Order: sequence, then C-alpha cells, then structure tokens
Amino acid sequence: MVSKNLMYGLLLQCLFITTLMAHDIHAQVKPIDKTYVVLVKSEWQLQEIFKNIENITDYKFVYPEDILNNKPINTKKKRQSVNDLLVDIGTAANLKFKQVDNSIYVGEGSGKKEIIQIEIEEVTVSGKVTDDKGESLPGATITVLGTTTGTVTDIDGNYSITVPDGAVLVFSFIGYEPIQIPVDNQSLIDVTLQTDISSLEEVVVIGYGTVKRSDLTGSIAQVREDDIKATPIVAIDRALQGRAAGVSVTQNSSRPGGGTTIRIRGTGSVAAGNEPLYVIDGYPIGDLNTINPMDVESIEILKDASATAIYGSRGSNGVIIITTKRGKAGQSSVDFESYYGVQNARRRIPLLNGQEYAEFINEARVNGGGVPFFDGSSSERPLPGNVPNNTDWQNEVFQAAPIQNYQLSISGGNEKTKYAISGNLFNQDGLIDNSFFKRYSVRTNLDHNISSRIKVGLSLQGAFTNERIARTETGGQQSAGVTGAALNFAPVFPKFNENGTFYRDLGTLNGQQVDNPLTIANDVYNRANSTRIFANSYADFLITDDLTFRTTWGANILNNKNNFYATRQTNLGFASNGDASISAGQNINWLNENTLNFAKTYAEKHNFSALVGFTHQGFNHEFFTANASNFSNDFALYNNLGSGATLRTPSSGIIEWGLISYLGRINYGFDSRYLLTFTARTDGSSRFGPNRKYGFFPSGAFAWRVINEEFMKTQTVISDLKFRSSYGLSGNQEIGNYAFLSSIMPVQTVLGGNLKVGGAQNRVGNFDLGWERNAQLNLGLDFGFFDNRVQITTDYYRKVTSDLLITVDIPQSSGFSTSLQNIGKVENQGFEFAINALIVDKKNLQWYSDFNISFNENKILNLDENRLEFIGGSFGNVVGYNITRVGEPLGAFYGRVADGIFQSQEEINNSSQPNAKPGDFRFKDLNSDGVINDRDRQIIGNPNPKLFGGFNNTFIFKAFELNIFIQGSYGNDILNFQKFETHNLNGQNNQSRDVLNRWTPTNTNTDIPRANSRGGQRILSTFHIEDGSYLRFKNISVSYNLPANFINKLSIKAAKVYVGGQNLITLTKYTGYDPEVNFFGSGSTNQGLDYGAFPNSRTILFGLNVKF
Amino acid sequence: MKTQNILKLLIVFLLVSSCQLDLDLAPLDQKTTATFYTTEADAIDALNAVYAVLQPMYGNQFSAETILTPTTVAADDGIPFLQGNADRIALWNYRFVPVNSWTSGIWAVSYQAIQRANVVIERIPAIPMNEQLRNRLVAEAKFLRAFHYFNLVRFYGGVPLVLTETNTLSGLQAPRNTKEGVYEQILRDLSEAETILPLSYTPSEAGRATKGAAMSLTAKVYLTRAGNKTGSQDWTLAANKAKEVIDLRIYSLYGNYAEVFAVSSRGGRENIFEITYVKDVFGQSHSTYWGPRGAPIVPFNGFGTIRVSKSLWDEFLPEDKRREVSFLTSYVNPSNGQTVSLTIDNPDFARAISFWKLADLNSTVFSGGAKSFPYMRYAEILLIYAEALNESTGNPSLQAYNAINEVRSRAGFTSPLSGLSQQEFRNAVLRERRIELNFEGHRWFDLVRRERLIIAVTNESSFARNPTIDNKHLLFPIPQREMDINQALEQNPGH
Repeated sequence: MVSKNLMYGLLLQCLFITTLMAHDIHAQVKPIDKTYVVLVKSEWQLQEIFKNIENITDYKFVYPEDILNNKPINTKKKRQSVNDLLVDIGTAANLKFKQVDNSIYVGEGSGKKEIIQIEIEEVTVSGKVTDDKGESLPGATITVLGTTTGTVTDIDGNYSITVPDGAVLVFSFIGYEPIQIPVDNQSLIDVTLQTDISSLEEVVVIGYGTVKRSDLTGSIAQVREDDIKATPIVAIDRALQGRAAGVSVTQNSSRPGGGTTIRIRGTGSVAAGNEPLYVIDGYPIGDLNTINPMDVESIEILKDASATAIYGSRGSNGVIIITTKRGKAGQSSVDFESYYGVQNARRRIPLLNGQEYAEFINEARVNGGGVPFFDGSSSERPLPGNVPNNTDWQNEVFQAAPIQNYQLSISGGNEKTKYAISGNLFNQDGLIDNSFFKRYSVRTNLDHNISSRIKVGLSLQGAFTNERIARTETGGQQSAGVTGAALNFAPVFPKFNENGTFYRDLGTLNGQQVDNPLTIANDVYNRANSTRIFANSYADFLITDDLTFRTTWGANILNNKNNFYATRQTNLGFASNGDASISAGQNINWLNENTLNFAKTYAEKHNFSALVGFTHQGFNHEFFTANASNFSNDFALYNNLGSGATLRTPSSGIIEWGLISYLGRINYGFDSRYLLTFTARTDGSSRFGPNRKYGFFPSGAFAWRVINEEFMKTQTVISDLKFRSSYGLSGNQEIGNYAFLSSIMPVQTVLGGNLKVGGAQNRVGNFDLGWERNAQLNLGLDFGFFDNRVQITTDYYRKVTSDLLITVDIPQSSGFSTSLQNIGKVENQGFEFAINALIVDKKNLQWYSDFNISFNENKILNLDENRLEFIGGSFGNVVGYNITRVGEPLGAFYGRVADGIFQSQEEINNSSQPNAKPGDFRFKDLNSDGVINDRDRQIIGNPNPKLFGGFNNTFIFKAFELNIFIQGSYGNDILNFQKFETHNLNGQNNQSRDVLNRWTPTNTNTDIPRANSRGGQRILSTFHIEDGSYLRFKNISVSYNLPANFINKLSIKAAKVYVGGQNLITLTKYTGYDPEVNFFGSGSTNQGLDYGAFPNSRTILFGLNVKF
Repeated sequence: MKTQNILKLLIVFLLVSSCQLDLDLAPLDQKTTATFYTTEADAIDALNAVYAVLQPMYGNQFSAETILTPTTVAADDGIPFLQGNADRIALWNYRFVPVNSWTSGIWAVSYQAIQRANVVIERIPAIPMNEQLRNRLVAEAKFLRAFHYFNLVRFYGGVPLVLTETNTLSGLQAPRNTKEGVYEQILRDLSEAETILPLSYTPSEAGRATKGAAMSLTAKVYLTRAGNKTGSQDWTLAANKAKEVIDLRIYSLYGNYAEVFAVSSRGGRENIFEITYVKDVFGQSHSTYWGPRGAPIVPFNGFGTIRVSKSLWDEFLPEDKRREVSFLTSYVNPSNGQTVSLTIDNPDFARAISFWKLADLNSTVFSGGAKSFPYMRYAEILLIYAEALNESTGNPSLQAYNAINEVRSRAGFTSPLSGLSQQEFRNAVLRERRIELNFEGHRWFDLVRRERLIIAVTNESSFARNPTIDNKHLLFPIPQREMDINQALEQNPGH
C-alpha cells in the first residue's frame, strides 16, 4: 500500500512541482482574501463590524477612535471574504486597511486606490519529512494554509520555505494524511506523515496512466495487496473472488493450477471469449498461472466503457490491471514471507457400501426382468451380506495434501536507481494422489533516471511451472477420470489383484466400463511444464515540463510441454500396450507502445491532460504433438516415443495474430468539481475479414464532485460525494485466428490400403466478420461519511453487446454445419454496491469492514433473424442440454420436467408414458400431445447467479489481527451431470446413498425412481438441476505481530505469524463436490456443468512473514 | 539532454514503430481457398477429401456406422444395446423423432461429401495439369456425388440438389427437389463418370471409383428406382447394366466367402467398390463396436452396440458356410482361458452372438481394423441381375438362375435353385441378399424398395421390440435442425 502510494505519489507530485514553484509569494499572499465570513445583518456601525470579524476570525483591528464616525454602513448579507468585505467598507466609509500578520490597521482613505495594503513578516522554515517507517519522503508538498504558496521536499525529504509569520504549514503527500503545523517561532520543523487510510487521494491505475481516485470518472474497483495475500492461491485471478463488486469469479476446477471463470458484469458474448483482458504492468497478456501473486501490489478492475474503451477491441469483457511491486528510494528492505498448509477434501459424495450395492444390483436386475446377481451361487456371486470387499474408492484416491509458499523479496534504491527483486517457490500437492503444481519464479523491476529528463526501466519475470495433472473433468466410461471412476467403480471390487497389480474389471458390474480409480491416479501420467520469460522495458522522455513521451518494448515468451503416458494397466493404454504422447508449444507475444502524455493546469482551475498513443502487438504460437503406442514395457513412460512399435501421425501447426492500435484520451477537470473524460481507440486486427478490419471504440464520461460545491461546505457528515456517468463502446475479438477465411484443412483417407492426405475447406468464408460491439452505460454515486471512515460506491450499468460473434447453424445441405457470423444482441444489466468502513477506531481495537454485492441480469435480446433459439450442447450421450433463446439468459439448461414418480399402473394408463412402470419418472407433457419426447422440454435452470458478493472483516487488537472473509453466490443453478451415473439406478455402477431411498412398492413417498437394470436412460430433467447457491467462509485467519523489543534483538524489523483456514464452512444445498464448478471451463453457454470434478479442499495453514 | 535530441530520438522510435505489421495474416500451416486449387497435387488432394468422408461413414472411429446402424437396426437384422444410446433404440423400436442423431447424421455427412465433390467438379477443370488425369478426377468426383445422393434419396426421398460449391453465406436455403429429379442427377453423374473412368487402377489405388463401379452403381440405382413396380422399364435397365458389368469379364467370385473380406483381397476380383483402411493407423472399428459387450478380445473390449437378430440367424441353413464367417458364436477369454459361448437370445449383451465378418483381429488398437468395407461386390451384381431379370422377363430365366446359383454354390449349396415361380424367385433373391450381404448396409433399403419393411420389422419382435411403425417410416424425417434453419424445406409426411 505504502510503497505504491509512494510511487504514484512521486509521479504525480513531479508533475505538479513546477506549478507550485512558479508562484511568487508576495504577489499571491492574500490571507484575508481566503478568510470567509457571513454577516448576519446588513446595517452596521463600523465598530460593530470590526468586533464581529474579530470574533469569528483571528484578525485584530487597530484603529484610531476618531475614524468611527458612527455612520451606519451597509454590507452584503451573503458569505464573502474579509477582503471583499473590507473593500466594500473602505469604499463606503473612505477608509484604508493595512494587514500586518493578523493585525489589520485602519486609516483614513486617500482616494479610491489601495484600499487594502498587506504587509506580512516572513520567516524561513526548514526540516525533513519522513513516513511512518522513518524513511524520507521525497516530493512531499508543503503549502501555507489558505494559500497556494508552497514547496516540495527534495530526494532526501528535506525542504526549506519562507512563509509569513504566524502561518500554518500543511504537509501533504499523496497516500498520506496531511498534517497542519503552526510555524510560531520555529525555524526547524521535522514532520512524520501517517498513511492515509481514507484513500480518497489514492492513485488508481487506469489504462495507459494513473489518476487520483477523486478524479476518477469511470467505474473501477481495486483489490489491495492485503486481500491478494489473504488466501493461498496459485494465480491472481482467484484473489478477485468476492473482493470487487461486479466481478464474478468461479473456480472451474479445484485441481492445483486449475482455471477460473471470471465474468465482469455478466456474460456478454456467446461464441467469442468472455474472459477479461489482463494487463500486467501495462502489458496486455493472457495466462496468469505463471505470475506469482506475491509480487502483485494491486489489482484494478476496469468495468465501464469509459475505463475499458482505451483497450478498444479487447475491452468489452472488462480489463484487469495488475501492478507489480517496484523499488523505492531509501533503505533496502528484505522481506521473507511463507506459509505451509494442509488441504483436505471439503466434501465426499456419500456412496453405497458393498452390501447396499449388492442388494441394489439384485433389485435392479430383478426389476429389469433378470435374475439377482449376488445369489450366493458361486464365490464370484456371494449373497449381499457376504460380499468380500467394501472399498471406499474416494478414500483410496484422496489424500491430505500440503501446500506451501516461500518468497524472498529485496527492494530499495537511491534517487537515480530503484530496484525490486523477488524469488518465489510455490508448491501445491493435489487432493488426488500424485497430482501437484510447482512454480519457481523470479522477478526484477528496475527504474533508473538517466537524467532529469530521461528515465528508463525494466520489468523482468522468469517462471517455471511443473505439474502433474490428475485425470479429472474428462468424459466418462472408458476415458473416465479419477473422481468419475471413484464414484462409479463397484465397492465390492478389491483394490489389487493377488499379484499386486491394480484390480481391473470390465464385466457386467462395471457397466460404465470405468477403470479402477487407483489405476487412473497412479498409472495415467499427465505432466505439464512451462517456462515463461516476461520482459517489458520503458523509456520516459520529459520533453517539456508538461509533455512526456513514453515508449515501451516488451515480449512475453512462453514455452510449454505436455507429456502423457497411460500404462498397459489402464483402460487408456490397455489395448494399445501403453499409450504415450508429447506435445509442446512456443508462444511469443511482443508489444511496442508509444504514448505522448500532456498535463497542465490553467488558471488554477482548469486541469487538462491528454494522451495519444500508437501501439502494435503480435503473437506467434507454434506447436506439435507426437504419439506412440505399443511399448514392450511401461518403463520409459513418455520419455522414449521411438521405442513404441506403433507410431501415430504427428501433428503440428502455427497461429499468428497482429493488432495495430491508435489511442487517445482527454481529461478535463474544472475546479475539482466537474470532470470530463473522453477516450477513443482504433484497432486493426488480423482476425477479422477484409471488409471489417478496423474498429473504432469511443467513450465519454462526466463526473460531478458535489462535495466540492459551496453548498456542501457547511455540513460535516458527508465527506465525499461524487456522481459519475459514462457511455461508450468497446469490442471483443476473441474468436480465434483466421476465422473469416475458408482454409484448406488436411483430412485423411485411405486408398489401396495407403494413408492419403486430402484438402477440404474447413468453413464457408465470411469476409464481413468483425468485432462484437459492446455499448455500456454506467451511472455511479460515491459517498463518503465521517471523514471517509465510511465509503460507499454504487453503480448501475446496462451493457448491450451487439454483432455477437456467434457460430450460427447453417443448412447442412451447404456441406457445412455452422458459420461464424456477427448477429444477435445480449444485454447485461445490473447494480453494484460496495461499502468499506472503519467501524471501530479505538486505540487498541480497530475494525475494518468491506462489503460488496452485485446483481446482474443477463438476457438475449435477439439472435439470427430466422431463429429465436439455438439448442446446443452435446456431452456424454446427452444432446441439447442448453438453449440460447431470445428473452432468456445465456447458457440456460434445457430439459424435461420431472413430475414425481409413477405410483400405480392406473396412473400410468392415464399418462403420456404408456410403457412406464410404477417407480419410473413421470415427465410433464409440456406440449400436451400425449407423447413424451424431446418436444417436452423447457428451460429448467439458469447457471448465472442472481447476485454474488463478499464480506471482509478485519479486527486489529493490539498485536493481533483477525480476518474473516465470507463470499458467496445466490441463484445460480448447476447441471449435476454426475447424477446420470450416481443416480441412474440401472445397476451399471455404484450409486449415491440417496438411492437407499429409492422407490419400492413399500417406499413410495420419494423422488428417487426404482432400481431397474433396463432404465437409466440419459434424459435430462429437473432431477439433474440443483441450486448452486453458496455462502463460504473463504478465509478465517489470526495473525500476531511479534513485539518489537523482542525481534529487534534479532535484527528483525517486523515479524508476523499467522494461522488461517480456507473454506472452513461452506453453506450450500448442492450435493456434488463443490458448487464452484465448470466442467467446460470458461465457455459462455456451458457454465455450471459438474462432471468428474476435482474435489475442493479445506485448508489449514500457518504462515510466517519477516522483514529485515 | 536537450529537447532537440529528445525529438530526434522520438522520430527514430516512430520510424521503428511504423514498420508495417501485417494485418492480412493467412495461416502458415494451411492453404486457403485463395491459394489452393492451383496445382495437380492440389487437385488430387481435393478429390482425396471427397473420399475421406467414406471411411468414417462406414466404420471408423467414433462416428462409426452412420449407414450401417440404420440399415440393420431399423430393419430386422440387428438389435441395439438396450441400455445404450437412446436414439439407436428409438431407431429400432420406431419411436424416433426428427432430432434423432442416427436419422440426422446421414444428412450432414452426405452433404459434406457432396460439397467437396462439387468443389472438385467446379475447380479442377481450371487447374493446368495433365488433362487425362484431370478428367478422371472429375469423373471420380461425379461418381462420389452420385453415391451420396443415392444414400440421401433412399433415406429421405427428394432432397435439395446442390451441385455447386458453397462459397458464400447467402442463398443457402435450398428447397427440396423431387425424388425423380435426384435420381436423374444421379444417373447423369454416373453416366458421365462411366465414360471416363478407367477399368482398374494399380492395387495401391484400390478404392477409387472405376468404370465398373459406376456401371454397377447405375444398375443398383435402376433397381432401386424400379421399387416394387412390376413392368417398370427400370428393371430392364438394371438387368442390362448388370449384364454389362458381368460382360466386362474382370470381376468374379472368390472361392470361399471368408476370402471376400480378407485384408489380402483388397483390390481383388470380387470388389467392385470398396472403402479401404490401414491397419492400426486409420482403420475401422467394427470389432470393438460389434464385439460382445465387454469381451476382452478386442481393443477397448467389445461395445456390443448391435447384436445379430434371431430372424437373421434363422435364415442361415445348417449347410450355409457363410454363417460361421459372418458371426461370432464363442470366444476364449484370454485372461482366464475360459470359453465364453454366445447365444442368439441371451438377454446379456455380453453373451450375444455378434456380427464378426468385418472384424480384423490383427489390429491391436481401437479403430485399427484393415478389412475393407465391401460397398459393392460382384456377388451383389449377380443378385441384381437375377432380381431385375426376373422382374423384366416376368419369370425366372436361365440366366437369372445361373446368377443366383453362382452365389449360392459358393455358400456351400450343392443343389441349385430351379423351378420357382416369379414370386418364389423374387423371395429367394431377397433372402439371398439378406444372407450374402448381411451387415453390408443393404437390408433396410431392400425392405423399403420391395415394400416389406413394416411386416419385416413387425415380425422381428425379439427383446420386446414392439415397434410403432407405419407408412411414414418408409422415409426418414428430414433432420429437425435442418427444418428449423431452412424455411424452404418441407418435412416428409407424418414426421
């Protein structure tokens, strides 16, 4: 916090120094000019006025008695300065005034000129300004109260200023609380500034620049370093969860290194990406897993069009700006931060045990017209009470898994050069045996002043990640993953064969044909590693005092490699005697940005700044895959493809994209009351058709700082009040490359028993393919109360995304099934509310509280002119499980409505399901045609939450700190696809314990159908849709700052120990592993599907932070 | 540094910056329509892409059995795995609706091939290359276009007749043509192909369309178009065309039935048009799909998606050698050495007699079978000749008897058929087709064209089939997705 404020403070202060210095003290000093009085009546005796002013100001009037001629004087009753008042009086009574310090001498007037003369005695004061850590503060401002006279501290924090006698000095620095000190007779004043918790003057990072929070016109949320560090996370996207209004974060997979889905103000796109643009230290970038969260200083989330339009074609999903720590001048600082924790599965799905399973199988077979399997006829078919095994497969594959993180950072510098260097080791084992994610990273940030006008710098990061990915979130049956198999594999199966190998059984008790879960966890090797080098350099040229040119050159180079091997013990490698593949990719993303920045204040009241820029960015990705199978043994795993007897066709490819952009922004502020921002960007992208290569994205914003209006001056309750409004366009280009072209894809055929390659068109070309256009209106109100101890930010927005990039179904008689087109409109409308407050502020107890809540409504306004809906989704033999329908939200689940269970043959005879049996599902005949089929489907669920939010509380009691962070989502549905197996009741696999309550002639009051070996068809209905709402105690931690007198002996400046718990409590009705789940990752119409998920964890961890 | 110097630097930067970044990027790993279709090699590749549709359509990978599933399961030859794919079951018990994936799948894949053929027919003539080769490639494409329209017209009736390349998104709403119009186009393409295509290729090119293939398909088209109508001119045309094929004297039957399907018979004398595969690299998946469920004798174990029906099994007389070639009746479990015997009526699909003649057990990987799919073989030409002659001449002639007896004699029947009435002979040919060509994608078509579908489906009632079949089922529904998008289409009556 502090260091960031310092950094941006310096930057801003530098811009304004010259303005301050330009003022001449004598010409400007008019103390009485700045002292305001309100007189209660309009007719006065002269003496009466002087007395009155003396009472309400510090001034003393000195006058000869004879001047008071008892003539009544008329004055204005309004609020006016003493100066103005005296001019009026002087004119009326022919008097002149001379101010010496606080004394005003009154004499007889000698004409109309020079009614007021001011002589102020001056003294010189000097001293040093330091921060609360004792470090000097260069660039701090010292002004004389009530004037614009002032100076700034030099690089060592020293200052010297000549001021009128009796003046009051105001010491200020952005990010610190200003302090007022009367000069009196002092000539040396040293000042220590305290960090400003009100944050009103905090600097907010925006696209291509920074701005004071008070000057902000757009809608931007911030996540601070403390919040980022509060929970152990692998990637920073997870740190945003529950922290910022309007930002919905869902963990797709709980596996180490698993991804998230981030939606800023809802889902706007159907086919193009919905993920925000990430900008790291000014560099627009993609993958976050290789970025070390501990290096991050702050995260800004740009939400409205005014903020995002500067990112043009990539701004429509919002922009997340990540700022890493940089060095600051002063003493070197060495920080060691670490934690170690243990993760345990938050929940296991209760399943049938061996005997229950056997009883169930028998019942299913009998009901299906067969005979019991467990009939005691042979050792393979014991009676249910005698089954030899009772294996809890979840128990076998889940483990308590450690998570640990170690970080060493060194930062410091002098006036010319500043540095920050860090090294980090992050190591998380997965809850599933053998899975892990490791990251080793280093970061160096350097800044150097070549001269007073040229500054250069570098951000350099290197990271290596290494993981073994547990097989989860895959398809089912033969290719099922660990959890999928653990839920399916019969509990009556043993773990091992007699010879010690993993037991394998694909017989009739394993109708899903899944592998032994232990085999998958142990013998399917899926290794991934990546190496990233991310370097960005800049040079700033201060051309004039008001004009800066910045150029940046950078590259993000990412190499990744995936190794896969399935041994001959696994389904995947059984038939092929071991199956291996290696794939690797090389990504090079380069960027050059050139911006010209102008900032100047005219006539004190007109703040003007402007930015123009030209940037271009290019990307190149090359990849290949090689496969082999038929190995003579499993020894070499994926390490020797050449030893496979069967080599499969390798594949390789390359993709490239390029983006050329011109951008501009103008900020104008009048009197700190009216703020205007205009931004625009033109993007040209290689991704779009020749007819629509370039897109233009303008936006405008207006803010009114009501608090600075005169009429707000008299009250003390409201300390901040600002109204914000903005409207603008941004775009979305995330549709993949070359999508407008009809390319020739290689296809294989066989002639004469020889493989031949053919070339077929992959799609119909669409030269009109262009951007998605996102138009957004934002209205916001910011309040502050009680000196900003309570701050409230509210926003209403309406986003309409048009020209949606949609993969449209086209008549297959064309030879193609789909084509990517710009059609349709989606609306997201919502309301955001955030409050942060310092609720208790006693000497020994402080309570900080942050709360945010967001409401978003997603609605499709129109689609293809020919169609009102698309039914989509095909997975695991379930086709068309979601629907994109006008008037409804994106990604809605589509299926039948389960209407209870048939209880009698009579009921069946009167129904639309004549072939049903008592105990089967009854479905609603929605179209009343007397037949139940796919036409009897309706929307049965909505994966988009109605509201979500977070509630963070920090209590500081002496050296102890308690943090409780609660986060949740309400109103989102989940398609629990796993139920097609755990609740299929057809005796093909193990079942949820819910099945103990299945329908039988004697247990009729239930919603679980009967066991039936011929049933269990995968018909999606309301039975599979569950409420995914949850409220989660994401973090509860207690920390203790070790006493200074103790640690100082050890040459330690500060030390903190803490213990924390993540996900300790989760309140939800959802019956799967975790309500935070997305089988299909961040896809727009495929949210909220749960199948074969990696279980979420509950983590207890211990941490130690030491500062040397 | 002076302002002037800074400005100089600025200019340098701007110059560097303005180095053109190309926004007109085209793929480096693929040609586009703008750069393809320029060389002889491109022409060959473009045609290969048309052939490429055939391998999956007739049995590769997970798209397996686009044609074979409906022609067996919707007829009376196969029974689907009853706990499996609901659409396959609906096909079997005739409860399918226009969204059924099996009735819909044929449409998409056929038109994909037709589009690729259209591209060849339109684009290749402009490529500078060997003219003879160019003509041949176009003729092959015409054969393949006819091939796919023939499937479409038999499944759906009159379908949109798209004969040009789709290269724009406008005008895609093609209306249905008449059935007659589609047949005329098929015959036109085939006759043009027939005049140009060579009689044969080198064995390494086996699987390409030949003159004989075009003639044979023509004969079959006539036979199909004749339907069940006595006195149709098409019977004569079919018989004549079949006779022309016979008279080519390049085709003959193998000595035994198993040899027909052997990998070594690829490009052999009985195969008129076959779809070829490469072992383990790009093969067919029949062994896994049709092997007994869970049987650990094939890659991934058997899926048992379709088992042999009792009525088909019962058609085989004891002396018929084709039965043991066609079906798997027992196997030895390699893990315990036990013999698992399979029966025709065991409700457990793990114990079901399975279709086996196209299973290639030399392959060790899923979808690695090398046995060709025999789309058209000489035995069928003999049966077409026999059937058409019987209809055109009004009674079974000697040539007709000779033709069917040639097929029967290989099957092990020592006594030739004789003395049958026209109706008896008609029945004998159809029965012979069912047996000889079992699981080769003919049965449903034969039943439909001879107007025997409803009775046959009703009679094959094992496993509580209880089909709800009526006249509308003589055509499949136009896929619902296609109806939704293309307003110019009309659904087949009743669907």
